[in-house]
Amino acid sequence: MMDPFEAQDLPLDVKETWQALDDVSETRVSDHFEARLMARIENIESLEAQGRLTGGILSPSIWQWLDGLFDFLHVPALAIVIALLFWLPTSSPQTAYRLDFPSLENPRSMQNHGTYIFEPQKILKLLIYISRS
Amino acid sequence: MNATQHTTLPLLPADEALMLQVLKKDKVAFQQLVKRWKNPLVNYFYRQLRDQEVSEDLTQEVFIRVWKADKYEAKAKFSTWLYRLAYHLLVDHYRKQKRQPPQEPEVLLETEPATAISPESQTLLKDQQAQIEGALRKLPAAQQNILILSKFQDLKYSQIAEILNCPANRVKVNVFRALKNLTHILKEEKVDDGSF
Repeated sequence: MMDPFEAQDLPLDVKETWQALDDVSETRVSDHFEARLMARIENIESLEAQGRLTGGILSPSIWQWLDGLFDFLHVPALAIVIALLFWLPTSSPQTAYRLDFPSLENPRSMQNHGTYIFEPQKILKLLIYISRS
Repeated sequence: MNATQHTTLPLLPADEALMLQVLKKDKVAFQQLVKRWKNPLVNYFYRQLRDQEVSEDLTQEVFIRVWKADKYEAKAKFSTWLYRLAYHLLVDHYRKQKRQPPQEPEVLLETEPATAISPESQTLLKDQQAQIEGALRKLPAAQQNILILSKFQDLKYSQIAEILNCPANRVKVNVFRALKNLTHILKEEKVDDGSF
């Protein structure tokens, strides 16, 4: 134990405090410490070996991260698909559903020029059916 | 606690030599290092965190880093290098915990055998222990750390300076400041108790 107070002119109370620090209790390391440590190291090594088996490009943690990402991704992916289903048929000039109002002069001339890929009502019904089944 | 005493025995290889073997993934050398250093390291953490489980976990983290190390310069003292790892892990731990107040010390973890001491002396000793440990916990984390490194971990000022990455003179000054602060806290506690 190193004593930093070689100097004689240090205050007595500070020296006493230094001595009092001897009373600070110690703890005992648990019996299974080394076994747990070696188990942890073996676990890390086996994970690293798995990483090497997967090509050494991606470590196992990256695989886990990607797995987690794909687990979560279905939520935004579904939202994007639904948004596209509604947006595509209405935005494209070729497929947009255009409701032409009948001319006032000739109400019978009303024609439905709209051609569209998906009918939103049917898609909605399908989604409701899937979610309920 | 005094782990370096083992290293001075002529028949045992020095820590630095063992560490060079560990770099070659020698498990026997690694286990020898663990045997020598687990106690000082666990106590280094325990004296600051007062949590046995966390102290052991952090010590294991240190050893895992030792095992995974791919670089070690034998000219540096092994203990300095090891405590540097430990110190960085402790700082990380404090950052994660955002320096929550340490828990109350666990009772009956002292290594001292209680049989040879009379009940009165035991009570007195426990009171003194509680007092100094309580005062130590009131110190800022950096002051606690520097006091524990200099008092219990068998390190020279130059080594502590390397661990904390600061000049040796500053270590000396900071140890003195921490001690003065501790003395002040102890005095205040005695005044509060009415025993001063």
